Amino acid sequence: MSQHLRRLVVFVGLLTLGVLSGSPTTAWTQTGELTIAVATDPLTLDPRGSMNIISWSLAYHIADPLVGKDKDLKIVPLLAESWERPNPRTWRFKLRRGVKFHNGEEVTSQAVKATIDVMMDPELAKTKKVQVSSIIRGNFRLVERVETPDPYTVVIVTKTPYRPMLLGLTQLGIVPVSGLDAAEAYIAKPVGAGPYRFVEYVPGSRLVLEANDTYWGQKPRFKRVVVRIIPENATRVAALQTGEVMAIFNVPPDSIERLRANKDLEVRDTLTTRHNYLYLQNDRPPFNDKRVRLALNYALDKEQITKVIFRGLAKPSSAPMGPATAYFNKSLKPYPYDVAKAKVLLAEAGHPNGLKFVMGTPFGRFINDRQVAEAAVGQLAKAGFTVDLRVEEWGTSLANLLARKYDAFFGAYGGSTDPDYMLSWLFTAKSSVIGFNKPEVEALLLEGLHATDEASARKTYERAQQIVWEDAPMGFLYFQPEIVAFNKRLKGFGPRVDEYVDIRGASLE
Amino acid sequence: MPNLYIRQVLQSAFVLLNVTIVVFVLIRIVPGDPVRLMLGMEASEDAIQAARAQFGYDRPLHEQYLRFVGGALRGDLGHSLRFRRPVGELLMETLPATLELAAAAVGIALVLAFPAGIYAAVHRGSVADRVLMGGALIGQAMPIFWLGIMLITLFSVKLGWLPTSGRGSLPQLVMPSVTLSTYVMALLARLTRSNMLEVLREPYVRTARAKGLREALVVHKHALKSAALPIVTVLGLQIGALLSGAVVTETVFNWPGIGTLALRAIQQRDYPVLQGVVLVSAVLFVVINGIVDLLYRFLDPRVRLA
Amino acid sequence: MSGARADRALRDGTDTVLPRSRLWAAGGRALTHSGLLFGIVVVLLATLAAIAPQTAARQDPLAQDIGNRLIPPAWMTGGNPEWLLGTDHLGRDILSRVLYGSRVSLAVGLWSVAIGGPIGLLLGLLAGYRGGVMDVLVMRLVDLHLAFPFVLLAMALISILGPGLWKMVAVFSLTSWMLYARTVRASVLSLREREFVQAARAMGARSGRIVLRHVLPNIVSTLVVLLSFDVARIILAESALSFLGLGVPPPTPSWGGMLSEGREYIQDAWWIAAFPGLAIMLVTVGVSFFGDGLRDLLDPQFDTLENRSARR
Repeated sequence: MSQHLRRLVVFVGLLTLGVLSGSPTTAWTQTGELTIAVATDPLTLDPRGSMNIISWSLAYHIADPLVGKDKDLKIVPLLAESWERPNPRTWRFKLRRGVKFHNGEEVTSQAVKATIDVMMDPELAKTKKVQVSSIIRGNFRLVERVETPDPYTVVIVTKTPYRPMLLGLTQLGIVPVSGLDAAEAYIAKPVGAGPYRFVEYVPGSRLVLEANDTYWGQKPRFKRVVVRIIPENATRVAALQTGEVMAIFNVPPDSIERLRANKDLEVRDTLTTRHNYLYLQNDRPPFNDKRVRLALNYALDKEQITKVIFRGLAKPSSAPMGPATAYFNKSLKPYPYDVAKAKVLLAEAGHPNGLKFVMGTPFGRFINDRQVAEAAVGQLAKAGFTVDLRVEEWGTSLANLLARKYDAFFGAYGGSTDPDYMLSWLFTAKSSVIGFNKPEVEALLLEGLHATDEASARKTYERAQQIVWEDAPMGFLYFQPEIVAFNKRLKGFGPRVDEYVDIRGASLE
Repeated sequence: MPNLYIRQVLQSAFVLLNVTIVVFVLIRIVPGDPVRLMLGMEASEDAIQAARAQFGYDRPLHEQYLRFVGGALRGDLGHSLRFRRPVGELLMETLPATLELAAAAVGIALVLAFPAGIYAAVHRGSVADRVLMGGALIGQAMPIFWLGIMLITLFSVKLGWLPTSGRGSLPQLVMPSVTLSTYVMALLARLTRSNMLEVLREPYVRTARAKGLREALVVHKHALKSAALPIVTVLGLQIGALLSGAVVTETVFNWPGIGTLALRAIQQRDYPVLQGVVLVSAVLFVVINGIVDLLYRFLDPRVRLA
Repeated sequence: MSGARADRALRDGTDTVLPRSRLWAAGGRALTHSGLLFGIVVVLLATLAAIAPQTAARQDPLAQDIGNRLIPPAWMTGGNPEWLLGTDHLGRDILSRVLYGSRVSLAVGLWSVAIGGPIGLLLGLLAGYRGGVMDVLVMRLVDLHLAFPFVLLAMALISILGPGLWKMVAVFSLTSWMLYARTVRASVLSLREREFVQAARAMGARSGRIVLRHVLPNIVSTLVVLLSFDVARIILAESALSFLGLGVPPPTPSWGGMLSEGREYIQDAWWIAAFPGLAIMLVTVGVSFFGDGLRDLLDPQFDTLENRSARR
């Protein structure tokens, strides 16, 4: 018996030691390591295949693009030391010399060309088995060719003048030539010329990076960065409170008060480029009737959503794109909340007893997405709309959105301060997932794309926004905030208007 | 004796065969075109035809089935639609995590349930007995996801003693394994108690008790062994419950096991992954049950002599 | 039958009288069995809640009231008697949702055993009594069922079929009947060789008649006990599926779904998750006690399922 007892005591003792040694405080007392938590799985760290902002921003730490965006969203030189635009269709970049990728290869114009070529050429992508992101590819749709007159000069020639070229380039980290020839190996271990090296990625669990000591630019402040993927809001918030992570993203507004009450933590927010709304199918019933669309807009109580659910951190939508995007039309006003008017319009449109439709929504992708969708359903019910809500995981919801499966979708679109990026996808007939077709708007968008001076660009885009707004092709809701919370010891960190996860400038004291 | 083993292996193999058929059928009844799902919205008709031929979807059903089984035996379970990686790889990454969790849960259950059940049986009718059995009843009735959430709130957030989620260090294992062990622990405790009670009623035990302390000790050890036997079988049967419980537990604690993998696969309509998870867990289950069955027949003196 | 003979029959199981008499004989004991009492009370309350929730529910469980979201239960500061158990993140009354949520849990639990039970009974009878091919077939199916971890299989099926109350009932009954069939078969096997059955056969009674008059009554009570335990298991499984988002789609209230929604607010608005969790536990424990009591009354020879199958 005593032998058993002894064994039990030892076991319990070891267990206690184990528990104590792994106690939360060690997470951030280890020198040089930073752990943060994000809500969405990046799915890939290959800069050419990134499909969401988490992915772009994390790949951004591994692979420097030609140019980047600082926290004020100004273009800064990265792998490209300088550039010029000798004529509206040509961009000429001078590359930094002596920069090496993590695998030792040198950064030359060949690598740049290989990276961009595969974005432009679907056949090449297929042959080389590279997964190319359709979103990033859109940035290069007007590129005609890439020239490499010498190892440190890259020339990009576009088919027509393309205003947002630089912005598009900020989304594409440059990948070594071996990343094209041996794509599968690359995907398993992405390599770039960024401040951090890829160590491991466990899908759904975490991404680990380590410092690149030979980085050409500002030396990375952390020896190791662990990005934990915690989709459940409560768990993510709890992880910050216990000190397991130093910073979290996608903070639910309901948790802000409690987090602020903790004197070790800080919560900051900013309005982003993201615009949240209900996609409506403009080319089929019931939403092909403008009166029905207007009725929907009048039935949505944006104030209630922004003031109560977002605790005042979101702003009711007043234009097809947000105030953080260039050439935002300030003169437009949000659709007022007017249930009576909505009912009248519905009756006029032939639905005096109300209208039933199917709406899809993702959950866990955007802050409060499911909650807002459900609240909207409740609001719409008061005006006579009966909504059959389908809550789906984001990937599925996205697939259904692209396939235009339901009458409506709750969703959001954002990520760039460029009006072309924000407007052309939805309001060009060819790519529109809402069946929007107004040649007038398309012409204006094209004009804006080619515009070479500020004044004409502004005029064009403001007019385009106005036409779209008055047509009410969607159920406009709000402009989304980005809310982050972090330990006060983390310096040089904050929410970004483009929602990037960015710790390149951060440090721990 | 060898006959026994052969029979067991054959039985298991037969069940496994049926399992593959069921899994194969399961995935084929999914609405929608699997190839289109795989290639995405933008795929051209040519690409779809090519993929269909490549993966053999244009073959008759029984050929497809043979390809499926053949691939499975080689370890090729297809590719994940979402992650674009081989399903086998994803399974290899996540299975150890689930096994770790399950093993820890079983360990905790055994260590706590066995003594608890015995104590309750020996002190039948006492307050301790009632409390223990009451606790066991609640433990069997408690939804484990609720328990998990409560534990996190208490021990991580309020007290700060344990980390909230994830896997990698021993403290992170504590709450998930305790949560998962609850049902099995409660069940085992009750079972141990009732077995122990039965054994204690046996005449030879009563006579030993009457005769004196030392004999009683020997007899009690023997009684323990008898009571332990059914535990083995029960455990084998509970593997299924354990794996089921693991799915939910993993979700609550963000534990990167096959449960989380399966749930995400379902949410993402990633059918190859789902198929792989169901197949692997079934195989695991059949194999473990086979071993347990064999063990039981080996240990049970009645059957051995028969 | 006289009391003494009835008692003896009960004790050594040679009773051929229909179970009703046994219940009567044992009826006096029911009210003193506190566990069974608790179980009966819980089951009655839950049934009442499921049939007529509006008697206690003050509000429409679906009615949103965003202006009044996250209100604590009435007895806490900030609480309001209008919402006895508080409101959730969309301003819906928790009490009403818990009451209406009982519908999903009970409906799924009861219907699943109501459909799976008879199937299991029939196939178990065929397998046990007929033996031969039927037996082999049924046992293979049972083995197959044993091969899959239940929740995983249910998840996979639901993901393929889509969510919905009746789909869940279908999935549960399809994956549970094997459990019942196995028990029925085991019962049949043990009863087949009993004296009274041999006697009946010797006297020339036809198989069907033997089954009906002699075998069936004994089995039904065993099965009923098993089914009542299984209702508890199914309710737990349904809430787990709802928690994972694979149960009835929103906005229909379900306890598991409420738990999943309330999880995010566990620190600030614990009541959203706490009360449905309590409900699940109470009903599960109550149904278990009910089953326990039933077993003590109807079938004292009922071994735990695990033991019985171990000696298969």
